[in-house]
Amino acid sequence: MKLTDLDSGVEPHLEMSGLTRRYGAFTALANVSLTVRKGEFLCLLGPSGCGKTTLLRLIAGLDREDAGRIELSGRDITRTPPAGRDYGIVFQSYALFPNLSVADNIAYGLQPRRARDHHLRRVRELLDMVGLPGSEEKFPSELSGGQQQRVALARALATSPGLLLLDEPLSALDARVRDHLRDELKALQRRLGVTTLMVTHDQAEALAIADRVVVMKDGHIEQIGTPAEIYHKPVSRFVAEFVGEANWLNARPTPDGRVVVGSHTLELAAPLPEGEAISLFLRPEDVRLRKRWQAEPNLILARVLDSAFGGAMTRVRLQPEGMAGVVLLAHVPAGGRLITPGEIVPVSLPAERLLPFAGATS
Amino acid sequence: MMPRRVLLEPWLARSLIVLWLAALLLVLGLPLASLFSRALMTSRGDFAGLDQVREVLDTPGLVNAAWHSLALSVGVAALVVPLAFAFAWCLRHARLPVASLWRWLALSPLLAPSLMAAISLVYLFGNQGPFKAVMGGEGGLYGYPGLVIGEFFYTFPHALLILLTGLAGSDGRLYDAARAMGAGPVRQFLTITLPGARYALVSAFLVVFTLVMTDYGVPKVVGGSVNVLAIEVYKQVVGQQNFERGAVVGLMLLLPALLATVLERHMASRQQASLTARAEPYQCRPAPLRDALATGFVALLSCVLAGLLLVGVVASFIRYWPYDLGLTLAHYGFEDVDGGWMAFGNSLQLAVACALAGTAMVFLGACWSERLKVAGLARRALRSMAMLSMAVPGLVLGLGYVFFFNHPANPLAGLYGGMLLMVMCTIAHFYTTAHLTVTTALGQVDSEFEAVAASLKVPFWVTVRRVTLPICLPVLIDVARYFFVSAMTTVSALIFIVSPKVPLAAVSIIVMDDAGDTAAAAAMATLVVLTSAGVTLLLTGVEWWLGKSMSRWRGR
Repeated sequence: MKLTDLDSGVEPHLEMSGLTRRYGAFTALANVSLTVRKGEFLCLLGPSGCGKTTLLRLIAGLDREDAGRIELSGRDITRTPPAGRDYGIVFQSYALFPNLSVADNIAYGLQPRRARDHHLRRVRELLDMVGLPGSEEKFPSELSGGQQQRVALARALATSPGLLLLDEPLSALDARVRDHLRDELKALQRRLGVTTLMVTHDQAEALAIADRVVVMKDGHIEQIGTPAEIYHKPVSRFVAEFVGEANWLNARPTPDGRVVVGSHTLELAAPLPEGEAISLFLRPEDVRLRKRWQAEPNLILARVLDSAFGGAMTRVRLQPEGMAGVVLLAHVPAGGRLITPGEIVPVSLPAERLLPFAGATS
Repeated sequence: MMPRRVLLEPWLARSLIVLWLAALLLVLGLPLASLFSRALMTSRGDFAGLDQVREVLDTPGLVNAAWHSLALSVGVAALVVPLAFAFAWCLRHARLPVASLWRWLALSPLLAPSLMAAISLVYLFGNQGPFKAVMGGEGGLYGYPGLVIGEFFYTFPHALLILLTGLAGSDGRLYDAARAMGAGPVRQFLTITLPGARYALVSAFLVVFTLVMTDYGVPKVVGGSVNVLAIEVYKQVVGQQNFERGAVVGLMLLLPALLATVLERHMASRQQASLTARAEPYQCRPAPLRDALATGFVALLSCVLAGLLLVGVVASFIRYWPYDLGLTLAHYGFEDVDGGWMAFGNSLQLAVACALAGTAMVFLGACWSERLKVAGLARRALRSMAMLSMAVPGLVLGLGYVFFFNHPANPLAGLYGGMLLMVMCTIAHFYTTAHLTVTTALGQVDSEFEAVAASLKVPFWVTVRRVTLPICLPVLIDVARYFFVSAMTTVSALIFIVSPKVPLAAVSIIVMDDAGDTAAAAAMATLVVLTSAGVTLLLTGVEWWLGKSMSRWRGR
């Protein structure tokens, strides 16, 4: 099965098929196929060494694939040198030319090279766009990290490329600037409608910014989907663990399609995988604390081990009764009742949120 | 379709890499190859195998010379390296008044040809010298005493430069941690300083060893009856035209140097991995006794080194040493000697040409080999060739030039004895140090510049001109200074290819001294020193001015 879910009618902008890249004995990218739609914001997400940067460098033409094919706007660019492709790129290091002013940096790729007036107009337009009006004469060393990244973005967009490549563009910034710039980047991308491919190892960033997320592992694609699909319906244990926090419960299937965990029998909405041992996956915010015991399926009792203040929600660690050695993490929205360590609370494990995966959890 | 330039760019990049590789092969690879072939061939062109090697080993004069050279090299290295290390340690780890003055004084011999000290020694301790009694009377200087002192003066600054760099690499935070854990100064020295400088120590030893082993100048002036290999090779090749024997000896000199360099590079690559970018410079705290002792030691050694230089300079202005101490400029007339001012003019020409062409060639070559991403194999070959030059002692390179460019079948034989060939030889001789300096600077340039430029459809040569060159300019001035001073002072490679038609200053010093005109030799040496010093000052000024005008975008 091809790992794409392209809607009919949406134009593909970038198509990769069977891309493979090896470095000696190490396979950085194994037979990867991916289609990027026109105008969408796609995130390549994965741990270091998963091949996401390799994939980006292949698209940029900075590295050569051992096998496979890349098409940009229907044109085969597999053997085309970088300058013959149509993209702008922003690196984690910004890679601004330190000896050139902001204006010269942004105008670096503008054609024709001698048209100063045209350049100045375009530079002013871009600086307004990235929120740095009036910075033309400054040098990169006189700007903060966030401002440098904005200049790098303006430079990448200066030639109005059809494709924007972002290589961990926000990783070098501190948390506040990063969140702010992330939202601006998203808004800017919407407005310009430029097809964007961003590499990141930060799952929160990927989920917040992308139209679709591609989760990668060991040189292949694990899952492609919207942030909600990736978060709520991970197709593999790897995706479930890599994106967000998760609870894992060891369970045994029963003949009637339910599962046994410890001394409890739980109902599941999803079909069970094959095998005698399975693990149940449950997000912390799906662990629901009830005010009182009531008749509902999958309701168990648990002792509160401790709780930690987390701003918008409280992180509560629970020890369910009848499940020896299991600790459940629950995110409880702020503003609810006070939770004290040692008390016993009814906890609901919603059937439609419990996802079964084959194999036991160690 | 794609613009033509897009397809042209990778092709041009490849061509430039191959062109530079070819140039280095011409000035370095082929001369060495012909040295090899000459060593293994008879004069009639048959394959001789190892017969000639055996024959050389049976020649008593040569074997004797080899032993002398070996003993001298090991002895001088064993003397220079500990003292240079102590000197470098004092500069880095003690609080010295006017530290940079001592440093400049100790490095001043770099401005002079290797035999400058030898000439000063002749003035002080030679047969006419007022202090000859110190050396054991008449002729006492000639032989090992003169050789050791002369080579010490010549090689000390080279060792000092390496060790200063080696000690600069130590991370100040390590010392803070050691002090926090209660380690005393001795323990800090043994566990942090010494291990950190290990590679620099070995490297300095190898450099001094090779420099002494292949030096021609000092033994020629004060060697006396102690016959060394470099002199012997010169006699065999230039005197007796026995090229085959010379080639074998050249090979014997080349192989250990080659081995040492490979060893050193291997160690260097391991060392680099242990250095972190976040290291903080070492800040030493005051310790009166240590600082006083260090100041005394450093001042003494710097004054001896600079003093030896000064003796030669002063002596060149004295009418008739030691009988008439009146001052005169007469020795600067060079009436009785061949060359004279013409030799000086030629040297100046050579130095300027090397500074300009050498710097351009090294910078562009380093740009191609480090920054372009095409033709991986050719780029690796280019890098190896750039590193090879360090492994080739000047003497051996000179021999290779004799064999290759003097060969009747070589279409470039017309260059032999001319200025162009000497420029080529000098650039090849000093290529590696310059190349390493530039690659270090290029390594600090963001590795994605070319990628960004390519995405903006700007060809790489525009990025070299608009970005890489301006960033590297201060380093390039350093490289130009290095080429200028080296070309001005070098003897060892050029002695084989210099012709009477185009004499050179440094070589003419030897000729004058040989003819007994020590005063003229001292005068010429002084000219060389003053020129080197003047250009060094000038370029330091330019660098300072550049640093000031670049300070805005450098953010300092």
